[in-house]
Formats: sequence, C-alpha cells, structure tokens
Amino acid sequence: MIMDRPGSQYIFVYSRESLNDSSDRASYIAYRDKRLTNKEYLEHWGKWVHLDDKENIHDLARKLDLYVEEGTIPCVKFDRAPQQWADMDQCVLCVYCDDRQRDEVFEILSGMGVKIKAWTYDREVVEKWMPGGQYLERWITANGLKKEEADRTREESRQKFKAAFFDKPDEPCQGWIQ
Amino acid sequence: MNSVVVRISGALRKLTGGKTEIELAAAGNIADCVVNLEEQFPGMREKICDEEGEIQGAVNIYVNGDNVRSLQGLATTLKAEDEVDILPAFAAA
Repeated sequence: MIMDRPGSQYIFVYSRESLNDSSDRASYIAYRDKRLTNKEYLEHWGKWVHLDDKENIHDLARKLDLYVEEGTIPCVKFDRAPQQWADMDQCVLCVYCDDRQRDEVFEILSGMGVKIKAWTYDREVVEKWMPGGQYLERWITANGLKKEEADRTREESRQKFKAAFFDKPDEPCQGWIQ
Repeated sequence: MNSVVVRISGALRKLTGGKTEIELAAAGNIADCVVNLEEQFPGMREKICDEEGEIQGAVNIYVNGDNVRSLQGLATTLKAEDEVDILPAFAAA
C-alpha cells in the first residue's frame, strides 16, 4: 500500500498487514518472518538503490506494491521529486530487505527491467547521518544552518541513533524516522 | 583483460552525452575502468576520483551490486561480464 504523507520528501510502500499492526509499527523489519533486533538490523538490513526519471520511479513503485503486499518485499521508499539539496537530477527508489534475501529481491527488480545493481547497508546510511557524516554535513550546509543550529542538529542526530540502535542492541528494531 | 559493462547514473551522464551503459573492452580492475572512461569521456576521472586519486566521497562504485569501498576500492579486480555501476553517493541517503 502506497503511503504518501504530504510534506514528506519520501513516499513509502508497506503491506497492509504491517500498517495494521499497531503494536509493532516496524514489523516489516524481519527475515523469514522473524523480527530483526537492532544488532541484526545493523548487520543485515539494507536496500537496493535505483535511479530513474520521476515518472519511471513512481511507475515502478506501483508495480512493486503487489510484491510488498504479498510479503516478498518488506518495504519500498521513493522520492517524491529529485532531492535538490543533494544535487540529484533523478528520483531514487530504495527496495529494503535483509541481505540474506537480497538476491531473490533483485530478481524481482531485474524482471521489471531494473539494471542498476547497487546494494547499501543501512548501517552505512546511519553512519553518514551521524555528526560528521557526509549526508548530515551536506544537509546542514545546504540548509544554511548557523553554528548553534548546526551543533544542535548534530547532537539531536547523535541522540536519535543512540537511542534507536546502540542503547538496546537486543530489542526488536523499530527503524528510524526519515 | 576483460570486457565489462559500466552503467552511469546521475549527473555523470552529462559527461557521457546521456549514455547510461558503456561496454569497456579492457578493464582488469576499477582503476582501469576509470582510465578507460576518461579516454572516452574527458572530465570523468576528476568527477570520480579526488586529488589523492581515491574515489570521491560523492561517488559510489559498485561491482555486481557491492560497493567497492567494502572490496578493494580502485584495485577491485574485474572479470568478464562483471557489471559496474557508478552512482552519486547521495542516492543512498
């Protein structure tokens, strides 16, 4: 089911089952029906990254919705429009899964004509959104934050990831808000 | 030396005249790929590599899906029919 929250850069695709599970908003972060802990998430969770024009990306997301609904693909995220703060001229679509199922997920993408083959672990992304990380620093610069605001943003980011992952490695992973 | 397919995404396509898939006849490793691309598309090397000759932070290079930073970087060896993808690093944000 496509979840389009106005105002968000990203549009998500979740299964109805995971959306309806109010007791566990991140039940899709699983491998073979077993929820991943924070430690397992940082070890195994990642995404296939694909770039294309906006129309093609949105069309691909609609096709992938069927696979998310039947549970073959855990989750999809795609850009509403190219991200200008990162100088992107194409939209990005990320297909999330555990690395132990990444080959079977890529076969689905390949069957839909996707050729770009680029796997990124979420731990790499988390690192780059931490203080000093490439994405966070670029975002701070692109948004023209003053030193005080920039330092506050860095500290908030550090606290967010610490609380989300590093303080409780054995608890079920709840993901992080993007 | 082996023939490999290199796919280019993002702003680097401006240097290839919009071409997204390039077959390189001779590439023993990623560094060879970069040299070969530079010969065909001048300006490519400085977009991919920094002043120290390492892969720029703004670029990710993948071989058969894996980021070469987790392999041997520019020294990552290539075999026939390997697929190389060059993407802007921010795509993975």
